[in-house]
Amino acid sequence: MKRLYTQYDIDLLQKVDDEIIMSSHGKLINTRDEILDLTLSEEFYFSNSFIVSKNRETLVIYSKNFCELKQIEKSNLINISFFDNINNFILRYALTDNQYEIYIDNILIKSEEFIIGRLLNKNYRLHFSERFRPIQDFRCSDLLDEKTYWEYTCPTGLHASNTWVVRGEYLLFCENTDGSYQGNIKKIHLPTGELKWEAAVPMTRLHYNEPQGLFISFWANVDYGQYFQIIDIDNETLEFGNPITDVILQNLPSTEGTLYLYERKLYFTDFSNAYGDQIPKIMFGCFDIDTKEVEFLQEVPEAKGDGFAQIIYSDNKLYLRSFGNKLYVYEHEITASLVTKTP
Amino acid sequence: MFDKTKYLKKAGNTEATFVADMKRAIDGLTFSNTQAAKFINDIPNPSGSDLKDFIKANFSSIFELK
Repeated sequence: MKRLYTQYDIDLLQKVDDEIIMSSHGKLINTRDEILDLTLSEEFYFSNSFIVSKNRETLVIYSKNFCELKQIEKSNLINISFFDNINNFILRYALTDNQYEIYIDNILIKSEEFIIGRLLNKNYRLHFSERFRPIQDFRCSDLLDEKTYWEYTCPTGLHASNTWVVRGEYLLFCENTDGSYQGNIKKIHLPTGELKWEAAVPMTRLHYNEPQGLFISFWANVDYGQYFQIIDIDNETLEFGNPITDVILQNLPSTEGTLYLYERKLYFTDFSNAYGDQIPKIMFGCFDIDTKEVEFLQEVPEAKGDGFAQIIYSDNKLYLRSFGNKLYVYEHEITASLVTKTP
Repeated sequence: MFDKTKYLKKAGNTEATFVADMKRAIDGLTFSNTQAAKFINDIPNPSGSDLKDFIKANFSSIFELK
């Protein structure tokens, strides 16, 4: 790929729908060079398609185009998250440090203290018995916890890996043992609790791609080899194997930030092992999930010794942000062909 | 992130002293709500303060003492 430009002091990249938003010292910048100055806010973050600017008593919600959409004022605010749209949300504030308010259509429908569980959407929630501990059993209810739909207990020795995805009427999660990434994936019908599909998986660190309904894992290590795992949630299939390649991928942990699936191409980052005074080489590459081939692996010489914190593909450009907050932007080289016009 | 982290303790310190020192040090750190949300999936809208509790609750599985 061809380098388009390098940008400095970029401390965060976020893709919101089709928009790439960069952060630099509290200012958000989009690809049209519009700026949202949040330097005076205590903290800002992204929730669904929204940007949230937080101060102690005020939350300001912005659209991805930096338009102010909503302000919420309340004492001792901690944060807000949205279920699906801006009118359905859960607010946390610190009356007792664990005070929550649930709003549907902007109307407060329930106040609760000390929720341990996961609010999946405005219809379903999961309840866990203890926070910050491996989850061995859980209960599914409606959002207000007026009706329990079903309960689930993991097989002996396994616990839920605490990654929860709702796709249509189904809940997806993995089970594994302590210290192992191997386990099972489960697909459970949310209204009934019926187990629709399950499969043994070699890797429970999964990257969810919502548009295609895929869980992707791609990992490599000089000692243990290089692997892909592709789970098609809707068709209930699992593909696992070794990528077709002549190169040796060295350090690909399949963690957040190191992979990005765009259509059928999986972009990834890797770095070489270094010994003694050697400085590790930093690389990025592309794996085709149909042909199972690594299409290329390319070094970024200027990033030697640094590492990539984020990789995002959008609008024919690949964005790579390093831990040193440098942004490297690439595009595919287009092979031009000469066309001779005849009169 | 944390599961691969290894810390060397000072010679002469007991493991108990080291753990207590580390937990005190964790209390002194500042985490954002965004950082907390990356690690905590079992409570809604986790805060930076929750992340400190999470690290301390899972101390032995996060930090490998040798």
